[in-house]
Amino acid sequence: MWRTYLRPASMAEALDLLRRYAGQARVIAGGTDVLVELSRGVRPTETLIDITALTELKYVREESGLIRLGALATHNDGIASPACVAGALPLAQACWEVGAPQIRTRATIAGNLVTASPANDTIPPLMALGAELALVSAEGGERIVPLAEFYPAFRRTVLRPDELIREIRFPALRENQRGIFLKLGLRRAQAISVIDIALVLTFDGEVVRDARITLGCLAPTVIHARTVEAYLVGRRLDEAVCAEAGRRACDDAAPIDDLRGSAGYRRETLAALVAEGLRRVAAGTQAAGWPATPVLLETRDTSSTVALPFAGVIATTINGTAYELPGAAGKTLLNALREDAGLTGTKEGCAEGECGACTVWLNRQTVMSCLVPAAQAHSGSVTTIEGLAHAGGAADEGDLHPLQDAFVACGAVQCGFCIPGMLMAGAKLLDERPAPNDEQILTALSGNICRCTGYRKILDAVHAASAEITEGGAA
Amino acid sequence: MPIRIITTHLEFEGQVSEQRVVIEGDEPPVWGPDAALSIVGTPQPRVDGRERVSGVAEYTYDVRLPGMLIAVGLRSPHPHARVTRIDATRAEVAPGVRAVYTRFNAGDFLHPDNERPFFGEELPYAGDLVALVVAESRAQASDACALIAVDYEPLPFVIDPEAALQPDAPHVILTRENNGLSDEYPKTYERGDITRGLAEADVTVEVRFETPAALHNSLETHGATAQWDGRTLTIWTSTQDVYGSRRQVASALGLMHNQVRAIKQYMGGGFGSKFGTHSSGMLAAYAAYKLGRPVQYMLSREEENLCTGHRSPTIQTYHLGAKRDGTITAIDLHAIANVGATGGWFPPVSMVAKEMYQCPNVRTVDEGARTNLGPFAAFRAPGVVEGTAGFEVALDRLAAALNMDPLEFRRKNYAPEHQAMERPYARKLLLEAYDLAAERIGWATRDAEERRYPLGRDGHLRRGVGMASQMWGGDGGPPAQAIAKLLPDGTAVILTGTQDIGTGTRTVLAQIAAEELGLPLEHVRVELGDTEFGVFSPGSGGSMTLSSVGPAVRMAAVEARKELLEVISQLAEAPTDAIELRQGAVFSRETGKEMGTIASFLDQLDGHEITAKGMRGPNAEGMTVRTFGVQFAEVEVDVGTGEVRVLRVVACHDCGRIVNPLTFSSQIEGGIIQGLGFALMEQRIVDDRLGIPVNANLENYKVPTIRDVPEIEIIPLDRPNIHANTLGTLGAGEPPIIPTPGAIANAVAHALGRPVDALPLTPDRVLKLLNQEATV
Repeated sequence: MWRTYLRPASMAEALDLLRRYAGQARVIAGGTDVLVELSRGVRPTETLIDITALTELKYVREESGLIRLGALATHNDGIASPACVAGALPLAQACWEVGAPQIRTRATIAGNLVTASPANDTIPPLMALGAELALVSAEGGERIVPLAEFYPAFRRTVLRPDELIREIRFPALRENQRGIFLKLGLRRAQAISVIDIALVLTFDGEVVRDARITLGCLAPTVIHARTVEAYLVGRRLDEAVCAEAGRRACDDAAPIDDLRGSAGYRRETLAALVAEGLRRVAAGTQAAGWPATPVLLETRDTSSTVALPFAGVIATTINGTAYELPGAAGKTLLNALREDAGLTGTKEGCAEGECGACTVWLNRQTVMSCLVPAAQAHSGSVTTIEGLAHAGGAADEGDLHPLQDAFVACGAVQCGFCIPGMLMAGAKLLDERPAPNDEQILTALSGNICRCTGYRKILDAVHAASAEITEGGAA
Repeated sequence: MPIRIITTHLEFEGQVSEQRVVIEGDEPPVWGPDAALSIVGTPQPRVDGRERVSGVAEYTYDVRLPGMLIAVGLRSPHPHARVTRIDATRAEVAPGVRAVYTRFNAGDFLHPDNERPFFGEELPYAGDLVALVVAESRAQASDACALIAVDYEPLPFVIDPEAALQPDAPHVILTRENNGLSDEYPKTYERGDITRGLAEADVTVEVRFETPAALHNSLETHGATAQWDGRTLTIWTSTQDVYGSRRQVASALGLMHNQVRAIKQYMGGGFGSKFGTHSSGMLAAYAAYKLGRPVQYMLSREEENLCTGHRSPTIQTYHLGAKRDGTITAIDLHAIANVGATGGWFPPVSMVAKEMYQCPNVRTVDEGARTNLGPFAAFRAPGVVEGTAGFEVALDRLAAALNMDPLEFRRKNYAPEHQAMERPYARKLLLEAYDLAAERIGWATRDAEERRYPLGRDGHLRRGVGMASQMWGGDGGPPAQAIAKLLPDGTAVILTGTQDIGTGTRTVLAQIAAEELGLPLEHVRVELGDTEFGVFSPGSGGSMTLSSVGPAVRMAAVEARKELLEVISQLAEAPTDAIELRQGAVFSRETGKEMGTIASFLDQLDGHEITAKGMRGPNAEGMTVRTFGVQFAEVEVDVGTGEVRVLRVVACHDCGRIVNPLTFSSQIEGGIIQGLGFALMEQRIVDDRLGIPVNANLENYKVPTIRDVPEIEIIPLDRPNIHANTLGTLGAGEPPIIPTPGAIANAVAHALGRPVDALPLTPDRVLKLLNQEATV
């Protein structure tokens, strides 16, 4: 899919590469969109410039009322940041609704903005929050572009070929501001939006002083619902106002029919969604349902893995053993594991991040290995199903991870093809939360499709393993 | 042993066929209700569970052979086109490329079943094969594919089945006279007088119901790895049918059966789509045979969804009539199934309408319409899932028109006998199943205000409860063989030619053998999925594997036990009827004392192995063996967004004796979730103007995730059906998916107070229904 894989060690080097490749290369970080696009022949390239070694760009912080997200801040970073949840709830909610946990560990918010689909979930909240982007290039230095001016047309941005998003920033919500993000998909998890909306309202007491309402999938780009925004100013959010605002939102939208939904459906649900969002903001229940401790499927610590310079030969540790994979720089981690490392326990179900069969751990994160360039494992460590028992502390050769034992005992396996990925996601959940509740299990496994079992016994097995682990720990 | 050739009848997916089988010896008597069994009937984890959870299990896609080449296909982007020119010269000299096959150098390679070329001049659907590149690596093969230049002459196409059946429709395949399936087109069944039946009715309803194309999306795609060593063509193939694969590969390549070995140890799902070895397997075999190097050809997810089959979309039109008291007087059904461009049969959509409920006047017409889409393939109760959904929805409409309770209406029209064949059912526990499941779901309170409106009348949630009945075969039948071997260490090996497609076949066969041999389960090893054992079994489908192969395994084990008892009797100088085998040990019946382990006796015989054969005997004559069942579903609909959530499903199916409650309930749960997907979200979407599927992937073809799973309550009946086979078992693979979509559709109609006219019930469709005038 690509031939040259570059991993600059500094911002200056990254910008220099971008200048030299002059639009012929693509920037990659999490890779969850880029690899899907490349496999479908969208915006093809022979060269990837991986910016993940620029670890100084991985941050979410609040400074004097301004929330700043570095280019490498992931959706999980947004979810896990107390500043983001407190000062930008709609963004945190959007991050939580994106893809599956294995996507959220890797996918960056900046990347979501650059993909530039009107269905990208983080655009409406960031637009409603009044975000601006700091774009940098070797020749032009830094320029600031309001997000509202970033998208000139359908799937287009004003980002120049030699530019990189360095930072996303916006004012944190103040005491008198409340907001929410709502989304409709075709399924309860791992579904692209049919429509999504973000609301940010500023109040004088109970009266709306300012309203920012943004709509996704309702026009060629994410747009403001200007009519509704104007209508709401000076009003109290009683039931009639919420309902009327919903109806008026349809005047602001220009949806189309596509394979996820009809224009008519989008209009009709827009009204319901806007009204519901306003009701919840009015009642102060915008954060209802937000998990106290969201499941992330990654071990979060501050000792970030230092990415060593990459010179074409991947050197990595897989299941505790050192590997050199000389022919794998142009491959996904999935193909490198299977074809070069000879570890076929990790399965390919779809090769586009939709089924989870290829789930492995990379540097303590749960990832879809089909969406990770193998070179991102350089100088890192990978755990696959073949190493799960050992990673789970199995003492003897032949012992299994408690979750593997539980899957067998509970009959949670039929054909078994999805099971390696299911186990890697489930075992990471148990690391993160040894006694998960149903909701947490559903979240953790929502990115793993099983076509045989009906999932009930998988749920049973996670509970059974949890009991084994927590009781074993107590003993 | 003397042999007999017996003619018996076999029903497979709605088709009854006459079969002549060789019977050698006698089957043991059936395990009746009083049979004392200690391993059969108990929940047992899979005997190969460890391999399946540790990454060790080798799927077709995991086979790695020294020198193995990888094949990648180039497929037509047009719904109908003629290939006029292919320039593969750049691809042929690309790095790593070992061969490029097209119609110009491999046009004489024909599919053995329909004699169509694998590389055709005329390509009747988007996704048909144009070229195959074989290279040292997948990347090299893919890169070379992009270098092939093809000139297509686009041809007129048709994708709508009703349009395809019009006289002036474009020809889906130029050489065919029309787009109907010519052989038995259309298939009509009649009993009584439909005109009189409708005239006699006090109330009639007309219902048009449409179901979508569902894609199997087995997590492992179709494909194979093949190797030719000059003597044997070995094919590792993701199949439900190793013997069918052997036959197909042998006849495609002009080899003898004894030159082909088909292997399938583990597979990532099939659901009906993996009978034989699919063209991908035959192409891998062809390339390996030509090149003398191992070749692997596994399809991409997109290819899988374009060319390996689907549940055919249907348009069902019912005209039903009943007396005021609820007696059905007329069932008229016209069903059109869109079967795609190729393929030689169409699904039995009308099976349930003919048989499920009592009615003297029935007429059904099944039509298969060819269109310029990929060919359909069997998909877990093909035709019957669709037909049950449509028929049960139509029945609810008729019940509503009569102002009758839907369950009471079905009880009223209960069919005690097989009307179409005018003979009794071996057993029918459906009335009991109705009672048990209705009680569990709380049918009596389905209309209660507080249940239907959980947030009150003004809230945005509505709930509904619906039900649908289920019928299916699944009693199995001959031929199926097994060999039981007892080894000197007292362990056993069972050889069969069946395959475990994920359902747990290996485990239940081990349970059956362990039961008869008096061995602990871990002392029995079951070999399957390999034609090299030379023990024929049929393909795994029709919910028949256990009921076909299980009795053969049981008979082999019984025969082996007889010989074992004889051996022990002579060595211990005790009559055979004084000896009992339990958990690998030999006991005196008289004293109850252990006389030693089985191994301790066999070990005295210097390597002698006991070998015994078993085979599946003929089916019972003069009656129809069926599984019957019912499911009830409770749903919640958000009337603001149109989202449907299934809250609970209660399932009660008579599947005869349950050999392993764990694998049984797993099948039921899995079937229900697939049925839920079909009811609510799964559908292939085709661009009408372009004639190509636009969601041949898992991004936009949605299958249920763990978040979509309802509470599932299974009421097991677990009673041997003594007419089915010597185990008393019936299949459980297909029954659980059959009623789910109909039950969910009826529950949604109940929640909305609106009739449902099509699946899937996407939010978009539900809101459209809500905007219609209330008529239910």
